[in-house]
Amino acid sequence: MTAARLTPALLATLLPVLAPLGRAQDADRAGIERLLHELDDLFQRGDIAGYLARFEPDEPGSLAMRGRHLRRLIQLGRVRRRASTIVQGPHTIGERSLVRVRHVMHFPGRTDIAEGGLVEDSYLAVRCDGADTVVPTFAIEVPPATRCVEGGRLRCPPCNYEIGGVDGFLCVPLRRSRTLALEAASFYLLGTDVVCDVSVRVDARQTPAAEVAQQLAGAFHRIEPDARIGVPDRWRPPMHAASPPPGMDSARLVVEVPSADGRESGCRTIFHVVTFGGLQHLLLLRGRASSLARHRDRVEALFQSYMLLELDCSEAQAAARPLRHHTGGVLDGTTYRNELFDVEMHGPDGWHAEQRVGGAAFRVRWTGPKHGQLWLSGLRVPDGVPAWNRRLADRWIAHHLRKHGLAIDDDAEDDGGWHEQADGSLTRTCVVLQEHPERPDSPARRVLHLALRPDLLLLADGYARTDRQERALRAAIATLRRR
Amino acid sequence: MNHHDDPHVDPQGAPFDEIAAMRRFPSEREWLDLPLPAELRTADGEEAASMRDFADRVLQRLRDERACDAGLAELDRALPRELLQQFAPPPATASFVADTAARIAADRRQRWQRMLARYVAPEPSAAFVSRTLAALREPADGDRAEAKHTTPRGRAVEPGPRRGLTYGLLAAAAALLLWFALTGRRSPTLVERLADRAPVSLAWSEATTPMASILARIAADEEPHTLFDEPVDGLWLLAGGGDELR
Repeated sequence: MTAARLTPALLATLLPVLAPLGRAQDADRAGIERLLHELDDLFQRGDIAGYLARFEPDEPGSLAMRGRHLRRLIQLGRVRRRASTIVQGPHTIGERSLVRVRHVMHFPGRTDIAEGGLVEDSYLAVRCDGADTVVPTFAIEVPPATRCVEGGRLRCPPCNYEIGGVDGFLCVPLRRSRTLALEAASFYLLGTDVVCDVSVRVDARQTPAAEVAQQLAGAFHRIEPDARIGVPDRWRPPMHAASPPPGMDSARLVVEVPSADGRESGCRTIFHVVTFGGLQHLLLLRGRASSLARHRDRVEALFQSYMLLELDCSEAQAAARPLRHHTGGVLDGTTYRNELFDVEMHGPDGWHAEQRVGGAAFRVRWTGPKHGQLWLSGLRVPDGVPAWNRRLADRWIAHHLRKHGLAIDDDAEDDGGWHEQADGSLTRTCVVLQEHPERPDSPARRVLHLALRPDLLLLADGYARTDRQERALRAAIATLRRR
Repeated sequence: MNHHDDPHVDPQGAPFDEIAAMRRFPSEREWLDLPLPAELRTADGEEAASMRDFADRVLQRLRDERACDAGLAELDRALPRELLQQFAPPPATASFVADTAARIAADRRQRWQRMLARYVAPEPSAAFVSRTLAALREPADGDRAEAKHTTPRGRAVEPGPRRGLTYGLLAAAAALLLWFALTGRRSPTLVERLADRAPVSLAWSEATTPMASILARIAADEEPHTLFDEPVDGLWLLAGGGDELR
């Protein structure tokens, strides 16, 4: 049969099938738009309890955090406006219709928010119970710019892995500032409480996967003392089970978390760890034990989709590439260069330098003899804030120092406040004294240097045990440049 | 109503007060100062030479545990329906039976873990064992030693602290269940509980994954003196930087 004859035949067959689907999607869209209008109204009235009550959540944790975020937003002004529009979808995922929504919020009278308003994107999943009944079941904020995610698949060649693209799962990329990992995303099995959180870390040490799993579970146990920790077992990612690549290590550890009220079965969290040199892929599967058992096939399919992309790279490369890709930083001896932010700093001679992973845009640590330490951290503009400025930086630094029992030494000679540099940036160097030590070994005196530009707050902070070391530390800070 | 229907009544007959039982157990410092039980003391206060050795005591404990397990197996079969009847208002959730069974199984597993841990730990001193047993012994223990609980099938079950713990957990769960049902309040999820413990000024206090709290804890352990490793929350900053924002 030729294409010319095949096309009309196919159309004649498929149109009766597809047309109702199209009409259903239109109905979904109209229903979702009505719902968004209603939610906008509740937000404007500051009725977050009413907002959340509209939902019948599949996964209560993410909705609760959404509520917490909305409560923070309404603190910004008694008068507020919000307009929400669908920017993608609706798509059908499992038994849910999913849309990506853009919320534009205005807080009249506030001059410290961008003129166009505060813009946030979120995913909203709904259940359509009838022609006119749209029940929201899931909502989560999503960063406006999303890298490494396409077609529900998280693929990052520098981090050397991919996972996802499995039917029923929604991949939600997460902000680094909120996850403290180099890269992170959560895979939600829509319509259920099953979630798999994926995080990437890089550690200067090459730690066995079982030890990493125990470290994670141990930290978890200290936060949730009721959690019951299992023993790490020799789990292998299914894709590499037959022939594990040289250098790869993996382990799994189950932690049971009882529920707070005993009304429902608790949460089962399963840490899956894959290490490749200092590179760590952390997959945290969580949900009620009954849910995990019921959706075992889907979960297995998700883990089946996980794979390392390059199997023969050196362990040093495996650790350096993700750092360079996500933070822009490289170390050459004790010199740190960052090509994304055009930053350069020479650490003190003889000190050991290493890049650290956390929520900052980048962070480097130099460790000297006799326990001297120096850190350089780059903090991006916080979410919701149009740009860094002196007032915001002062507010943040003052709060943070106070929280740690520290205070700026007003009598120190080198603190003359903020200085404007030729390139328009502001800098300040001061001595910080420990007033209320958090620990017996807390350093009594620190040197703090701030460099402020609208797009980045640079903080060089360190302490030394001897005068000579402090001179070396100050000399290193003086080499800090934004090229 | 017989005492099978009341979760606050210990099957041995006495009202079970879990909080009072917890309070009776001494603190670590008090525990170290506890005197040896009378039967283990000689005239000069030293340990009795005739004390059985550690292996014998552990084996005896194992035998006791097995006897208790057999008794509990009987109880387990009769447990769900009778217990659920007392939760008539409000109606029990669909997963209640499974959850109750899971709690009992978890309790059993926990106690087995504790028991097995004795085999990998260094052998405790006789004083350690006797002090611990004395501390665990409830004041009314002597009076109850003769008491036996009869299951619905008529079999006698040796009394033991474990069953008290099980009933205590069930009673606590039932009380919480009732409270949450009557107040209509939802218990906080794991993610919420973790976020509640995060400093409000930090961006990760809005994390939707437990990994943020875990990684923050690890970072604090690895670098206790670092200051600016965690970004500030933008909304907290815009709202004026107070502590009341949650």
